[in-house]
Amino acid sequence: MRYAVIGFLLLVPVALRGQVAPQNATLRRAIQAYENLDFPQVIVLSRASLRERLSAPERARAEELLGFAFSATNQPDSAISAFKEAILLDPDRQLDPRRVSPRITGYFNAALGQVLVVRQVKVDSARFISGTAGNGVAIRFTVTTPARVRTRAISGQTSLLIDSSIVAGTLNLKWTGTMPNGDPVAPGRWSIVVEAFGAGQSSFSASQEVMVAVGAVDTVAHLTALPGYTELPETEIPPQSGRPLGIALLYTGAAGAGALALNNGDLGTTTGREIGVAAAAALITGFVMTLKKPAPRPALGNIQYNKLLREQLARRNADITQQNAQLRRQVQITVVPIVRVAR
Amino acid sequence: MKRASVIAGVLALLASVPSAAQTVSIGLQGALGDYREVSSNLKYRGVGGGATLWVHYNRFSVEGSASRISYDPRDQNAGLTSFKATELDARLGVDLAAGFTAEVGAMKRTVDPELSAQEMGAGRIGVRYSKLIGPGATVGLRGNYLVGAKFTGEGTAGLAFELGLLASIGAPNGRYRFTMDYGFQRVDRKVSGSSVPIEQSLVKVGVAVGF
Repeated sequence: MRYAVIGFLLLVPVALRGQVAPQNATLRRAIQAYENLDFPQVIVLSRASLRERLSAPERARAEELLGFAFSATNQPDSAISAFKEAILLDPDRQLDPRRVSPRITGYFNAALGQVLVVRQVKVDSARFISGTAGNGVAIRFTVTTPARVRTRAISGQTSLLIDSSIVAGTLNLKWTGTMPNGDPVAPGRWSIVVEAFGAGQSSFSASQEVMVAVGAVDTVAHLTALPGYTELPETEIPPQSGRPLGIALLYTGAAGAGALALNNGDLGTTTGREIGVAAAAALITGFVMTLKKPAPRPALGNIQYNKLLREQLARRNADITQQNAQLRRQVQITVVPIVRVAR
Repeated sequence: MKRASVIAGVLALLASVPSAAQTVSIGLQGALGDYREVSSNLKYRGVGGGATLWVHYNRFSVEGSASRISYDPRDQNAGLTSFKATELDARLGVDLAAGFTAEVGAMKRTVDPELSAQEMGAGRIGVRYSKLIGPGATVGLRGNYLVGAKFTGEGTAGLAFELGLLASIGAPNGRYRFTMDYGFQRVDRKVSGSSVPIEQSLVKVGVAVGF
């Protein structure tokens, strides 16, 4: 027990470090008294400060100070009561368990279980395509006691119900950013409002402001080529061969043989000068062509390959066109929470 | 002469209507000829020149050529006289398949001075097969049957035909080419049951310019 008190005494003043010094002089004196471990004086000065004009954070600070002092002087009911007031004034208030003694944390948690507040309303930053399944911006908050919780998004006259359920503890929701008819919400400033209705008349609400931007969804560019595939040349140059000379020889032989066979014997034997000149001309033609680079010829396999490639490309582009038509109907929503400035 | 003018006019008209599928080429040739008639004693050898106009339009082609050969008798002591032969040829071709062309046309050969050799005219029907053996180079064979042959003297020709060998080489686009056109003509002319045959070998080598 003795060690626990020593530990408590060591931890409590540390708990107050790091907080902004209040403007109210009485409250500052109360904090000073707490750091000096003069708990009766803390109670007196804190109560005195609460009677003065304080801002909401200062008021919450004074109640918390009272809770600490009552805890230190072994007055749990008063401590819990003071903590309840502090929590109602500042629902997001938390104690650091590394700096605050377990006893005070226990009283603080007991206070939390006795008031209905919505704490730690967080809205993530998100960018998503409106109206697609599973997309939305995450909303998370904690309700301290069982309550019917209604979560809404509000902008001007527009109020959209996001969720309504009975909750105790932490709840994770997703807002799809769509109107009831499926259209995307209007861009601008929106409030995510969480209202909790507990037993009896108790209720509490908390909100988080977000900025919603609406933009077009990026479309996919058409393909000019299939990645990894290139068209092949549709003509190929065959290897050089003696074929042209062979053909010329064949034709010359046929003509010569024909002329010889059809020669009329009554008119004597033909001199062969004319067919000789003709044969020489044809054979020179064949010879020159044999030496010359052959003419390109269609590469049927490559033509077929290119045709299939073009068909595949056309099919892919048709799919992209269809996809783009769908994308153009969609809207990209960007949600950014607006940071609350401490007053 | 009148007929030649008509053929030239038709060719000129075809050439004057350019089209994407139309090619026109004009060629000039030097010619060598061998002409025989009646028996082995009447043999002539000649040198001359010629010109050809060739129009190809889609599947159709028209070819008109004129040549003039100065023939001299092979046997200078046989008492034969030299003569000049002017030959006009016209052919209308229809491409039937790759390289395979059906041809109809007419030919007329006149001689100067008159009666120094047989003048003749005939229609022709036949085929031509050309084979592309490389970029801008072709060789081909031609076979025509000469129908309704007429002569200055009397007579008929039951068997009259010509066999040809063709070759050309030049730019792949047909802008210019060297040409060779060989024709062997055999006409088995008969007059009153007697055989008075005619035979001619004519080779023309030259250049052609395409448009």
